[in-house]
Amino acid sequence: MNKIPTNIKILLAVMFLFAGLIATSIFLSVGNTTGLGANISGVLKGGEKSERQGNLNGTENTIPCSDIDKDGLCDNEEPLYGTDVINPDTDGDGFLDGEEVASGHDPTKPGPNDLVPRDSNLQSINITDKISTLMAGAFYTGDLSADTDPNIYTKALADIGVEILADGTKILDPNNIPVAGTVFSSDSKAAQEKYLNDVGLIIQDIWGEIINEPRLATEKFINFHSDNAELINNSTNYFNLKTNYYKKAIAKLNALSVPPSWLDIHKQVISNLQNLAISHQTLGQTAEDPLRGVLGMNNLISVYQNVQPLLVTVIQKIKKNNLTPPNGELWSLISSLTDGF
Amino acid sequence: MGRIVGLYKKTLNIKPRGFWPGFIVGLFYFSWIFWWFWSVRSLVSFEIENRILAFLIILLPYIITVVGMSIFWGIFSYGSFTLKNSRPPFLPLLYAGTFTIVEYLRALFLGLLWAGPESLLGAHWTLGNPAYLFADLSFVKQSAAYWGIYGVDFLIIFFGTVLFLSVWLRNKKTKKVLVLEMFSVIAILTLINFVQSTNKFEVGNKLTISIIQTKNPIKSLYEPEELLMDFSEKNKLLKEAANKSKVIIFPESTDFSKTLSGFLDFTSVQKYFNNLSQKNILIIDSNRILEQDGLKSKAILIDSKEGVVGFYDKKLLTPGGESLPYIAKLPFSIFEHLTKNKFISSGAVFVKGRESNTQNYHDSKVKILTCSDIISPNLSRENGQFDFMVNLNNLAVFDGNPKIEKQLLSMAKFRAAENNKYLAISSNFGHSYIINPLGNVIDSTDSTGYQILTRGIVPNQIQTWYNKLGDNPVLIISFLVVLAYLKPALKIKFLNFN
Repeated sequence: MNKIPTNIKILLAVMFLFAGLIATSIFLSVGNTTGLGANISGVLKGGEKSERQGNLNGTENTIPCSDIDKDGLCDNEEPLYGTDVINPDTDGDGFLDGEEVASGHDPTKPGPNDLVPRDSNLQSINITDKISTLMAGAFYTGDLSADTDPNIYTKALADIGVEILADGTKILDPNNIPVAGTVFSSDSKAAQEKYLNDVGLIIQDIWGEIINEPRLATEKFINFHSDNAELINNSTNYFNLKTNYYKKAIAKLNALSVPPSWLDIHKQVISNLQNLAISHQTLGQTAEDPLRGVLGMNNLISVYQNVQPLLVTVIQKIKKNNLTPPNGELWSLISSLTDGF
Repeated sequence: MGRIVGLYKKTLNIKPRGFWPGFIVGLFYFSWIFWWFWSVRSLVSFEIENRILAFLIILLPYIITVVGMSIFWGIFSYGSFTLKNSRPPFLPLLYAGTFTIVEYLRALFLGLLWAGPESLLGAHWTLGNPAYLFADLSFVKQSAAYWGIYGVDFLIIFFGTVLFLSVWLRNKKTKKVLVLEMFSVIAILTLINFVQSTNKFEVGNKLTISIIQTKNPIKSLYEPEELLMDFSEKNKLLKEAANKSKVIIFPESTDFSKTLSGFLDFTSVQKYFNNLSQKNILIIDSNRILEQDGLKSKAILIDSKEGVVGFYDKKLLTPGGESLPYIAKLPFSIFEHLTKNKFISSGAVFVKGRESNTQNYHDSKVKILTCSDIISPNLSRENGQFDFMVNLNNLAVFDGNPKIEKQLLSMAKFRAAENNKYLAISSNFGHSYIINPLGNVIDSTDSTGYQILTRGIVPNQIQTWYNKLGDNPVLIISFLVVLAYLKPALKIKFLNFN
């Protein structure tokens, strides 16, 4: 057989390279749509990152805990509450030990008057633990079994839902961030303009934060789903810093002298800031209590939506009172945006 | 001179013979083409502010890219050297065909080299294609409406070889054949240009468009004062443009609607757009938006009276700006391993769009190309027919590097000419342009910074051959030419096999 000339070999090689590149491109394109690409890259996105079964505490949940009496309390937790490892209802009052602990009752004292005094601001309660225990209790008692009476099933779910809402409302109460009393100024035009000038500077800073925040807060919140301790710490620090930032802003606002005619708006601004602070504070506890974090995140999103109408209200009042705050870039801009409203 | 010739001969004879001249020329050429890599601000989006670290991170991808691209020119040079004994009249076609195939392969390979988790694979990255060097020659651009940049590559090599051989060869008969070949091709080109120039792309209703140019640097976080100043300028310019235009185009990552919704609730946002003008205005805004599957560079089409009428998510993500290629990740990983520190931001990653870049607006179809999308001839002709093109550009990631701006402008001229459409480029950190369907700049801003560029354009329904067929004809011709050369050799092999 004749030897193929070198130049032909080269051209054939180029064509093979061409075919190879196209084949690789097709393979990678298919990979990108089927997930093969992700395997090739070894890079997984936040949401798909972990295959481990993280429990609601955010702690590693490799083996389900042992619970011989099926009362919703792990065997190793029973001594902590002074309950019997093999008796699901230690005090014999008809409620499982786990249910009693989760709902704040003493599992060793029978009767309806065995409520354990709770921390008023709920900071020490882990909602995730509480809800998971309630769920486990309801499951073991049969209230949440597939074959249970639908009415009982729905009621059990509703009860648990109410518990979450009740705790959420208490945790996210803006009054958990204390505010000092208001100092009043006169209601003269000059006093109003001075107030607007000062409050404008504070809001301008916060507004910048709010524009950046939704994206950043979501990114930082997603980090809690990773298994990287550094990322989780980073997110916790971020939310704690933000909490302090908003607390400082509240302190600055509180130091202002408020014209009586602006008291309503002043209170609304402070309330929004309290909401921002408490949401961030709650988000900072996501690592230990993921459910608390979810409540905080939802609250944060609703606060963002409250801010814009407030700004428009301020502008309408400025226009109505014919005020011209000296350093009013922010107000001029909002005024320009709302021209003709 | 003698020394240079001697050096060339020495280089030519180093094995693999013929490879090195092309490779060395490629090294110089691609070092220059990809010099914009050093505009390190692009890494800010990954929260890397340290310039020394950024230098070290860029170094490896830069070297790999330049060397990788040069290898293809080396391959062409090697091929040309081994083909030199072919019959001279056939050589110009053979060289042109080989170079065209090699250039197409190079674009494919660059896509693979820069591949990251969300890369769009294919021959999209045409950076450094020699055709772009001729972006100021009208007849070259006009011919691109038939066969695109690879057709131009084919012609460059064809004419170059004909001219070289006409001077170098002594055989008069061969010279005559070559000159005849050259004139035949010139005649075809002249005819095509004549046909092209008689196209009635200026017939139809004029549409006044305004480009809002901005100068907003890329940062992971902006100071409130910066945000306020930037947004105030955009608001002022939008109100001004609304009085004189029917289409207003913002640059990439303007975040206008997003920022606006930081001030106004949904109903007030609607009122704001509605109050801009008595008539319907199309506002093409671009926002970085975090969605369920990741961050997106999203172009949003807003009708001032009807609200949001369309979306387009950028497809060709910018390496280093929006997507971190695997080759760039390598040094990151090494640094992270050695220093036990984390350098890459763990924030949300950009994901590419998957929907069409041609958007319907009333009776028109608008082709939207976001920033680096303009590099891809395939993306510009995707989905066939449309009326005019817009390119939302953002040079902030390259710190306004003039080298990349010039390269992008050359590509934009070709995209307009390939599709015979008006193309409006709105830029952040660069200049803005309006390019006519012949690929010529008819208006531009004379400086960077916040300003408006207003001009009338004529949307047209013309569909060019390139828009219909893409690069297929020239690639097929190139293959056929190469196959025609290979045929005798393959025949020998086939006969011997029997």
